[in-house]
Amino acid sequence: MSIDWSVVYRDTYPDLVRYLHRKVWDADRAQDLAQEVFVRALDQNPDNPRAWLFTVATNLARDEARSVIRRRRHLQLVKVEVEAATPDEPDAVFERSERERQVRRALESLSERDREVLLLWDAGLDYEEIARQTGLAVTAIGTTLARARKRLVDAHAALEGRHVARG
Amino acid sequence: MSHVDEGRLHAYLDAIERPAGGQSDDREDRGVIESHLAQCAECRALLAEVRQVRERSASLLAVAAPTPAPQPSFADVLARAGRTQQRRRLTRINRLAALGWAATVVLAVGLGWIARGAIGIGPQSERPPLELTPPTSRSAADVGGVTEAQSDEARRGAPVAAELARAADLVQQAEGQENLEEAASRPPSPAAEPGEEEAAARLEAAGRRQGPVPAAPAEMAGRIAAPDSGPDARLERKAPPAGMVTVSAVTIPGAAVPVETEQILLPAIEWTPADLETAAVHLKGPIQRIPDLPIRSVETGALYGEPSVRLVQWSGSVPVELIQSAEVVLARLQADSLGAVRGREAATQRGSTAAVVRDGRVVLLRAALPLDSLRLLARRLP
Repeated sequence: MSIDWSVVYRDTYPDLVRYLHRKVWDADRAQDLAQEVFVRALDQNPDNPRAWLFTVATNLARDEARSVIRRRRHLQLVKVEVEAATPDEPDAVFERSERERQVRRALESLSERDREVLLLWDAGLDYEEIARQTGLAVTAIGTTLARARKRLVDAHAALEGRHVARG
Repeated sequence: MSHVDEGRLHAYLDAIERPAGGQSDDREDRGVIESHLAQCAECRALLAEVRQVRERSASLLAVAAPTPAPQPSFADVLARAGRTQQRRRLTRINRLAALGWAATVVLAVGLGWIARGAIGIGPQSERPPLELTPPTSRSAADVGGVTEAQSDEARRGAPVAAELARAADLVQQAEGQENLEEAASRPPSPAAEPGEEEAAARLEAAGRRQGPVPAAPAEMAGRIAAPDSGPDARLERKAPPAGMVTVSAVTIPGAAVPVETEQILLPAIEWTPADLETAAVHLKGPIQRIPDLPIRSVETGALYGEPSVRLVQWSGSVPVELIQSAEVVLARLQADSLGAVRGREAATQRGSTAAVVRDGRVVLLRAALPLDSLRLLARRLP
């Protein structure tokens, strides 16, 4: 029986975008990659559509990360200049982007596997789906998540402490 | 009785929130844990900590969530799928047409050359080889060291070489075009950051395609196409210039034709032809150029009010623009380009852009070349 991808799209697209956003850290790019995942899905008929979508999304994000390393540095360079040139940027907007940067740095302090498991859980997958996606045993997911969550919280607290100390 | 470890407590809370496929196992395990918790204060305290960590982690991830945006319709996905297929079909047609044309030219010229040999016509020709299109009024020193003697020798050499070079250029351009289009329709490749050896091999292959067969023109074209060729035809390894960045535009969701390659859009600028000396005075500093590549043109102008110079050099038969200006121009170009491209219906530009920022200056390199090739050229800037 072939899959009605329009239904899967309606239900899964927001989770895919959320997941991809934490991979590429660019909302527009995350949406574009999510669309690309569904374009590729149209002529596929996997047993588990949702898991298949996240597998493809992970691969696209990984390829994207390799190719945008320079782009990311450039965006940081430009962002600094733009912020310097617009001193009247609203405080709330600046604060939010600063908080997001801290969370991002905390996430990057996790191991790749721990981060992957955490992001997949946050994207709405259950333990069995995460296990299939990552190759881990189902019984290991709880321990991995425990470690990842603790490390994220501790890393962020450390960054906040340094930020406050500098300020 | 043994205590419940943190991992199991996380799994216990996660299963309540989001049951997995093995429901009966979950329920059994949950029963065991709850039974233990009822009797163990220590584990109850640990459970409270685990809850806090879970909640804190979720709230941190929520901070890093994308800003809610309307979900595009499924029709957009279908339209995008249709465009992808159309682009692949056009690419195959273009490539076949170019190869067919190139094959026809090679065959015709080859037959003509054989016929000339058979009836004893000399090799004189007044047409210069394609690669040696000279600038208008500059000395040999300004055109990357190509002397008049070498130009004469090339002209006397073989007109067949010129035709073969033109045919080779057609093939290369078709392949280059196809590569750009295919790269856009493919996902980002894992090999997006090739090692130096692979990049050197690619440029060497490009040089071989461009270089014609006969000895004198081959030496000339080979020098221009792969100027850093030593005896082993490998590029000299250099560290990238300080401040090397790549300027890029993102693929635009919902655009009629997605932006296919990295690009930057320049505003309309009035360029005035000049020579290198005048340009250096205009820019208030030395003009950056890629060593050993012939110069096609030098122009002066202004970008966002900043004195700017546009130098065009030949990389084989492909013109490479080097737009040089103050560093502050880069941020403005990037912001304006993204804004302009988001609003556009169709992408019309192809090629790559790379920017080198150093000492308060920016050099924008633009060419109809894959980005890797452009990066290699940029790294050769002194």
